[in-house]
Amino acid sequence: MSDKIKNIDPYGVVEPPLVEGDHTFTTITEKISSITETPPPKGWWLAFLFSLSLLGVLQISLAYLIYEGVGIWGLNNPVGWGWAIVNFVFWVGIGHAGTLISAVLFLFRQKWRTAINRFAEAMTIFAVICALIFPGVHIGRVWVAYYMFPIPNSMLMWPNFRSPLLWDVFAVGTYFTVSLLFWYVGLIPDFATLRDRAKSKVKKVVFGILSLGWRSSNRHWQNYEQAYLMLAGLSTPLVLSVHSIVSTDFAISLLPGWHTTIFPPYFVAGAIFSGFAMVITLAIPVRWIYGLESIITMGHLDKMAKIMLVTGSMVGYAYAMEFFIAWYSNNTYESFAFVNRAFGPYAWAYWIMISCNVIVPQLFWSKKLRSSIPVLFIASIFANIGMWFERFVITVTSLSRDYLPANWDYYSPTIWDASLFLGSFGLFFTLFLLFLRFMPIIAIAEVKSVMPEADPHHGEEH
Amino acid sequence: MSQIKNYKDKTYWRSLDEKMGSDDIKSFLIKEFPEGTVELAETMTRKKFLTLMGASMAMAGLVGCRKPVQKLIPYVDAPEDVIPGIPNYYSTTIPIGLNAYGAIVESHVGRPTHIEGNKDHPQSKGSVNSFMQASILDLYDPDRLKEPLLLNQISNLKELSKSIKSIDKDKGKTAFITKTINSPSTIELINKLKESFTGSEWVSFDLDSKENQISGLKELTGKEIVPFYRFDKANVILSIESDFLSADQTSIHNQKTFSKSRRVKTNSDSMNRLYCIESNLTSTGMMADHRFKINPNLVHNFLAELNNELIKLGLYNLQSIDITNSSFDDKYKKVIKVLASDLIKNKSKSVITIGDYLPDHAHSLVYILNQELGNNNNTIKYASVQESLKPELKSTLKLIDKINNKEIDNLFILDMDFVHLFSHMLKDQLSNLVSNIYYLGTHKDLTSDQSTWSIPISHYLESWGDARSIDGTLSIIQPLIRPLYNSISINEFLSIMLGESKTDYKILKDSKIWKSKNKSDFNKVIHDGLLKTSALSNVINVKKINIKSHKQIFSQINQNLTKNTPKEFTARFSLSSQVYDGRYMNNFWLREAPDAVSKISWENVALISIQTAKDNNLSNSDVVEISVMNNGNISSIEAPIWILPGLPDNTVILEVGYGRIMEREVDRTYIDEGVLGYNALNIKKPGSYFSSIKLTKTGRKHPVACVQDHHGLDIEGLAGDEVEKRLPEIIRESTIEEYKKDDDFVDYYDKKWHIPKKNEDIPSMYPTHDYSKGHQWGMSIDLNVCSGCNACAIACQSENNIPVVGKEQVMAGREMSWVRMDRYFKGDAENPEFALQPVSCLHCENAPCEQVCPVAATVHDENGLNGMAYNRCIGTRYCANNCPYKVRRFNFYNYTVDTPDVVQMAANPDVTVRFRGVMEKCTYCVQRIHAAEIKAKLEDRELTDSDINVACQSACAMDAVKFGDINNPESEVSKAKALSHDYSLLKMLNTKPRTTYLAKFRNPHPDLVVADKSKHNHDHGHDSHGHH
Repeated sequence: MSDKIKNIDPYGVVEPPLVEGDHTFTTITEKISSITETPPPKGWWLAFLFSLSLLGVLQISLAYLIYEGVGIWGLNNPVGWGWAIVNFVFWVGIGHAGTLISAVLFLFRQKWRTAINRFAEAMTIFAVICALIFPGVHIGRVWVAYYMFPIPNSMLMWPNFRSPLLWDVFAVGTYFTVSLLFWYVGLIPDFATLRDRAKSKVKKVVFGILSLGWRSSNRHWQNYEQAYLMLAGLSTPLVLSVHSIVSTDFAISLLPGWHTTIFPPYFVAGAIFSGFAMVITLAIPVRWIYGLESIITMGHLDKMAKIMLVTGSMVGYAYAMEFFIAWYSNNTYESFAFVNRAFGPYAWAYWIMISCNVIVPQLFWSKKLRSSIPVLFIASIFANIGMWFERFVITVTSLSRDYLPANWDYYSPTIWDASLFLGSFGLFFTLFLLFLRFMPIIAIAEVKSVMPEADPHHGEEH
Repeated sequence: MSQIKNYKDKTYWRSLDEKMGSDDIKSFLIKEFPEGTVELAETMTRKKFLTLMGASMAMAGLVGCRKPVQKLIPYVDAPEDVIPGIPNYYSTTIPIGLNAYGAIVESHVGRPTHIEGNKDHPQSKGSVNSFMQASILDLYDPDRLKEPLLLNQISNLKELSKSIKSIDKDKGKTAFITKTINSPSTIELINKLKESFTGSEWVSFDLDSKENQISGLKELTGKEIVPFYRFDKANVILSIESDFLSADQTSIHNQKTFSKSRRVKTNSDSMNRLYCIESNLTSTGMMADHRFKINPNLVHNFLAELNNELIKLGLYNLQSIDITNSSFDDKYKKVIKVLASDLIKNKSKSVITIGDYLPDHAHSLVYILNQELGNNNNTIKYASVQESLKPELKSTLKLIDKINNKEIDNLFILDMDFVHLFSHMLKDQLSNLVSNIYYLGTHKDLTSDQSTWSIPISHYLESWGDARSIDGTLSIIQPLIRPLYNSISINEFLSIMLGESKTDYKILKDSKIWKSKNKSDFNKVIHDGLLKTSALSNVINVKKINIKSHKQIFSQINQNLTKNTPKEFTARFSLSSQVYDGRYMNNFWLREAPDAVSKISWENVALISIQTAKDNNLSNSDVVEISVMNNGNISSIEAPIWILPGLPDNTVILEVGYGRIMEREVDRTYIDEGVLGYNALNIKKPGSYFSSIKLTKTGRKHPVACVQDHHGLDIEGLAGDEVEKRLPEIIRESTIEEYKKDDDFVDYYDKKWHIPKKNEDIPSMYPTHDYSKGHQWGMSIDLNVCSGCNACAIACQSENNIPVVGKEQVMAGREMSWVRMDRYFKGDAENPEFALQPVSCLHCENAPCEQVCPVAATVHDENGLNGMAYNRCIGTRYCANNCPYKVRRFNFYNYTVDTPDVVQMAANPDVTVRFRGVMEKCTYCVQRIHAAEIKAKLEDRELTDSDINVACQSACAMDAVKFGDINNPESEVSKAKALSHDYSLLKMLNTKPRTTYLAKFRNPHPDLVVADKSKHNHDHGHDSHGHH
């Protein structure tokens, strides 16, 4: 059969090619490897210096926090959790897209994932690292944080297994471990490629160790594919569980506005929404700076925009459902919690959340807007702002006005709340920029596998 | 008066000398422990360094023990009964004004730590008020005057004695000023002195003075008496500008007797009805069944109208007052009719009380009204205060005149911050007007700054003395500790003046009353805390007076009638509930405890009504300049506005007592020294409690620390509607009449949630823990008698070492008090009803906090206590978030980081001092429970109810708190919980709190019940959405 029909699927829709331009296996390898092998562009340096200074802000904020105590934040008596917990949930949420793209889409044979999975996974790892800072330092006595872990001790004390915070320790810990493994396994063939191309001794040794003796043999590939599939299977439930568990921090409590059964699916949808938004935010500059437009194509961005549209609408549905159930329950405390969110002192935060998470994604119904880079970029940033505010609204509004009106109070952050959050971006981008500099940012082997050349049948049906 | 900085002056300073630019730095260098202090040598040798290191290591284990190093040796002869770890209790007496309270002080290895009331003393009856409770902190005040100072240089008492001897006693240029004195031995010394200093002036002054009352009653009866109320016998109580439940020297007695006729147990009980007419908002007003705000100018109109109405109803002995000059609201006329009929109906079972500061003739009239109503000798006894040295305003003013005219050469100021009180009346700096000033005082304050001699006065816990309560009870002030500093008691000072220089113990033993007692009698008085035979000895019956011979009273009332309410603002002064007349200015427990009414801590504000704020475009924290014309001069102060519902319009409530400036020797991180409040005395005319003022907005803001700021005025709008909706469920209340018809009204709200009736558990999927065995601790709080006086909160602070966090942290919403006194307004914003609810940890059986703690730092014990393991707590604050009552308190900072050593001595060694990052909350005084358990075990007997009194319970003069074993049906708490109006807060959450509340009752007069108020709770029952 001719080349023209090779991308016709059974339903007769013409799919654009996943890799555009006239790439061959060689050019792909050359393109992606050269990023790590040539000095970085000026833009990288600028970004790196900026991130490093933000990382400095993080260090100062952490040092001062540990020195003075959590009193430096704006927390007060009813509002015991503020930005730290908001940031934690925010970063964990962002950490969702990577594993979803690599594991779930892998299992569903979504070949387009190959162009973005590598740095989406990297983003996941870094986001979870950022997230893990917060529960660690938001506690009053940082020096005994290890009480949270089931470590044998002379007090014969176990942690309290009934507490969702302990579940968090396990859920996020497991998620982080598995995501890291998954990422690393995927990296092995590409590390081997870099090792083979390496000219300096150091690179040879480092990549040599990292590639675990990969020789690209048939047996290696077989084992690799098996391992990858199994890890994908393992990761898939984790994608759903980690944010479900995080949501129980709220759902298990009896605070109006927290105590709702809708939280687990709603948090997962929100996490995917924010994760994809972050992938878009990162992909757009990266493909532009490194000239990867032919690998991360408009088609990829289009698909991610659609996922944002779906998950954004799911989140919007959840917002509406919360309101409905609060009214339907005939529980005055519950209904007030939601009315108060929308019209109380934090109404501004609520409407930022609604606009960014529900209204902005609706732009993506339009094909034209979906294919506009500026629109995509700005909308994805809005989505991230919106998702941060979602966590803020949930955490703070419910606490600030709960059952007994006498202890209602207003929470406003201090400069140290803000600096820690800002600093966490410093950590995130520093890690991400180092990743861009030293690692294959696109899964070379996997991209090759979705090119026409990789198809032994050359597109012909047999 | 350049040194008197009013509110406007924003430049705060650390000390007066610093401010005044004095180069006398030496005065700063007074050592904290003058005797037996280890000082660093000028050159630090290696050996010395190591010695000190070793010593500090050793001292590290002795937190709270502040004895000089040399004395840290084991007892060779151990004092009898002093066992480290086991407190001793001693009785003593706390004098205040004309009264004195008997106290039992807990002492740990020689240092007093906690005060409770003496059960046998008629003025405390086992309870305390917040001042009494907090006064222990004054003993350990690190900023106290520590050494006798001569012109700010450390001197000694011998020099003082010499200096006094050199005074020419007969020249008549000597004056003495004291506070009210109720101590027989002190008065004896004073009388001796008066003989020796011939022609000298001797003046007493107190801001909190019953002078008007005494002279008003003296005019009628010829005796110096004050009323001594028996509210327990009263059915109807009318309070006119009288905050008898909190701002009275006999407040504990009042609370005790009032709560007796207020408490409701079954629906066949009756309760008293309290009417309150007041121009500010007080605890008494908040308790009232009918409270009417009144412009202070119109109080006489009210009295006249009431008098005339009573005549109409049959009290024909009274003289009618011509009220053509009176304009009085028609609304009030109806009220007065009802009120008068209610008083007549309850003849000899009613009480009319009137504020101390009202003029003489008002007191006289009220006395006459009480006589005609048959109250005298029934519900009101009278106490003779003849023996006391009472404040006299006239002679005080005369003295000030003399001082201004430089007619006084030697001025003795005994235990009062003279300059704080009178600076606005002095023409020049005091030191320029009087050449020799001898000041016996507590602090380096404005007076000490002007004085030649400043002598530190001993705290009552450091000195021997005696006191006579208002009812005549004689008691002994017994020291619990040697003076911490080089201080002397007032008796010792007087003795120095007499040239005798006796110790206060000797003075006491030599005084007339105690000389006659043999040793065992004397010891018995010390042991009991009072001379039992003297109890109530001054309470007398009064003879009926002939009204006809006192017609002038009625015409005096007539002369004071007001035709028109003044258009300008009226300032209404009242004494601070926190610093009193300024003497507790450095008592941080009191400063931080929010005012019962305004909920503001650390400062005083200018309170205005909502309407006044609207009319004048004022909002909270706006700084206004309040000025008054005084002898042609304008004096002014600046104060931040705070809006409070229920105040009369165009009236500004100003708290007197604040603004006292003193030097702080010790810097404390979390306590801002600049927080002083304003000194309202600067615009107060002595002797009057209100005056016309001008009020101008400055455009500046001054942040105010209010612990309930975000909804106090949310009476309108979203949150206000919600509060209104929730309130009936949170504070369940009924009227006493409705209760008779319907004794399970508290259940209506539970029905709304489809939960079973009282005493039945909400069905649960999980098995419930069995609490049927052993002692199960529980508490019951009677909302019907709680007046929100803060005594419990301060008792708790003292017992449980709760840190003071400072104004800034209070503003940040981080106050640590374990007892939160919730105050709500109800209904009409201009004439609201009030509801108070003390909330501390309720010790839920299904505690939401316990489930969510990841490290199991808060867990239940087998006796139903919700315990906190501070060592285990890592501070996630999840427990606090999940507490529906929000009673957990978090140490956001290390608040005790720089608590001075001497303040640490006030700490209870039985309770851990919490570090930063740790959650804390009410423990039901677990240390007291365990101590009682151990004691019972040692004595091999069952633990009984009376073995345990938790701190808040024993403090409460209203007896609103019951604590004990709920498994024992005979215990007080079980009985309280068995009452039909017992309810659990937020029961639908199934937290099963161990602290439950007894509902509040109101007792409105049927004729005054507003139509829409009859809408009762029942309406709230079911508003169905059809899905049930």
